[in-house]
Amino acid sequence: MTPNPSSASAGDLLTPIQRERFAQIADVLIVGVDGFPNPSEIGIQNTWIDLALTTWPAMQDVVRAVTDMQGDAETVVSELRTSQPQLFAGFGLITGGAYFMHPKVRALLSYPTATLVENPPLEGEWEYYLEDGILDPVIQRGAFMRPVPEA
Amino acid sequence: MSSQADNADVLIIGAGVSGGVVGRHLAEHGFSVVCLEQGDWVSQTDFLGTRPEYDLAAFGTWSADPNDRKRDADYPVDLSDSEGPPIHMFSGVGGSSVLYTAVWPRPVPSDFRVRTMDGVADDWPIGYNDLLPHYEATDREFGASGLGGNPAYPPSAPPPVPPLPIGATGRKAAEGMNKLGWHWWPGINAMPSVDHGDQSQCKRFGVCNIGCPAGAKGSTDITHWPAAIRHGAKMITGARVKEVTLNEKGLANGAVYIDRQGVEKFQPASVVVLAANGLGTPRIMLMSSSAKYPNGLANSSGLVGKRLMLHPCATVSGIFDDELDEIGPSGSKLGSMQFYDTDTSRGFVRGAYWTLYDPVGPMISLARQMFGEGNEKLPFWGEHFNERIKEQVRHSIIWGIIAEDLPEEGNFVSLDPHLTDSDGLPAAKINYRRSENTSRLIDFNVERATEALVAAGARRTFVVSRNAPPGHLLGTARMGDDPGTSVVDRFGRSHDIPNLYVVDGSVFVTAPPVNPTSTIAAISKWIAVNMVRQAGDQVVPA
Repeated sequence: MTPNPSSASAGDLLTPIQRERFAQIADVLIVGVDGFPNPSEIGIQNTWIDLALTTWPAMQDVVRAVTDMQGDAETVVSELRTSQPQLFAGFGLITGGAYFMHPKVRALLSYPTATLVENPPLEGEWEYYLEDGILDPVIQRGAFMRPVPEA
Repeated sequence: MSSQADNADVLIIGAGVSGGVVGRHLAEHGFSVVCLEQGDWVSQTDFLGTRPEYDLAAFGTWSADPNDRKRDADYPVDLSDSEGPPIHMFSGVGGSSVLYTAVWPRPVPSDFRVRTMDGVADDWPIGYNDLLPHYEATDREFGASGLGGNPAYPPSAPPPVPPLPIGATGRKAAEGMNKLGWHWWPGINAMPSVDHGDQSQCKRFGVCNIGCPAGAKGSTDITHWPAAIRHGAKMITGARVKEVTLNEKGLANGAVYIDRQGVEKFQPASVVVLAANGLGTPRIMLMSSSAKYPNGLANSSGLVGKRLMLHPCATVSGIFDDELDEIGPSGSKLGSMQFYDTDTSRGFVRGAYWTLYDPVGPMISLARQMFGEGNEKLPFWGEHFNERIKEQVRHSIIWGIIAEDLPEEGNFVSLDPHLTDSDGLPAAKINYRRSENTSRLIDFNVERATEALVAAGARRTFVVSRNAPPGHLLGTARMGDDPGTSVVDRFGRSHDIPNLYVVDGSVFVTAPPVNPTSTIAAISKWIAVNMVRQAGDQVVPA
């Protein structure tokens, strides 16, 4: 595998070719089964990877390096895993991060909302979770640290 | 070099936890206080916790690792000769409390008598009872939420704010601990469960480690500096200290700093307080070498930068069939001190504190799956990806294990001979090796945490890390009564320079295996209270 040089125009994080390659490789890493979409179906190669790379800028070079590699997507993934595990790890994390941001994926992972929302403690909530004497055994055992001699 | 600034009674270098506590206390007692902070103020709207990209922030723009974050205000840390964890800290008003998870436990009395109790390291010159009123005061200042009566501790005032709920995750883990007859207690966190002073009620976003979007977390940009400024303190941001200066009599008389435009300026002061954390403080002291102190400021003991302790941390994850919480805070749901005290039958001395937290966000599941011990044997990528992530999201419990590492002079911070920050000042270089005692301690506790998760009903467990970075930087300008074996005295005052103080985690003699911020706060309060008491006797430049 040798890099296939390509360059993004000013202001673009990735070239159109790199975006297309990213979608292909992401679809190998993450296969949509059980209702989950393939990454390319949610447009991971556009908005989502841009947001991910803006948030984690150090991965821009990683994504460019991987998407510039020649060969079919399966071969790129396979060879990365065996010969460049650190690069593969970075690429896997940023790809997963871009994928997880999509509201449909979040919903399928059981997140009730597309982004985090306030969830302040309710009155009586902390007491509720300590009901049924769950702390009693700890209290009954009492102090257990070694005594400290006077200085 | 510009030197137009008015002389301050007290110049504080670093606006983090210790600087905030000292700055607020001294300003409230009528001292003129100036703080030099190399970073900026951060705003709640700067944080990404309520935006779609929040889950990636901890890896990039809001990483706690300055080597990842790479902001101009950060200085790099050379870890090429370190076997320790990455270094976590933050440069800005609030310091590392902007990004910490606000877990707020105290040590126990024996932690201050390690030599007496276990024959290793040293006893502290102060004890638990010296600090107790200051723990209680700073609990109030930081809005600590917790439940009183923990039998691991001697009696004291309960935390000022009721605990945060332990939730379904906490109950599940507690059931396992009860089956084994092991200690646990609802977690104590510096984030109030109800509105408290300048802090709002915790909203449980679960993103404490990338900055609290609710203004709830006990970070000194919220809890201390606004109050200090109301009392007249002056905050100068974008001010990177190059050197603490001395007058002809060898007294500290201020500091030279570089502003954002690259201009060197001088801030004069009667007293100088170093509060730049366990790396930043020795870095400044070493950069401030002179003919009188060729090995670094106030370093006649040779211990500036030495005895670095980093609290290597382990994390163990359990996956459960039950649906659990994935709700904040990212602080502590439970704490356990079952294996905190020494039991030599285990093959090591000292112990560990366990903290239970909810893994919030799918990225942590992805990272755990990718890097957890043994997980490479499980099919993951491709058609297994979502199945493997889904089994973890809202079905996981993590025990974090903070291990005590002992002070060793072979573990130290120094000035990097090659790497520099954006102003050309030397970066910090870490030399650190984990001791055999610490490795045994971690391995033992990893096995026990695994048992605890199994007892709670986990269907699969795995070790996520045995060398995770808790961001605890301790011991590099230790306190003591003997000037030959310590850098500062029991009141944080330099043995060599009587108007120079160190107030941050550098002064720790040992590293009690709890999250250290509550102790850093209590020690800095102790020092500030004594600075006020002893102000009449304070030696200052003419």
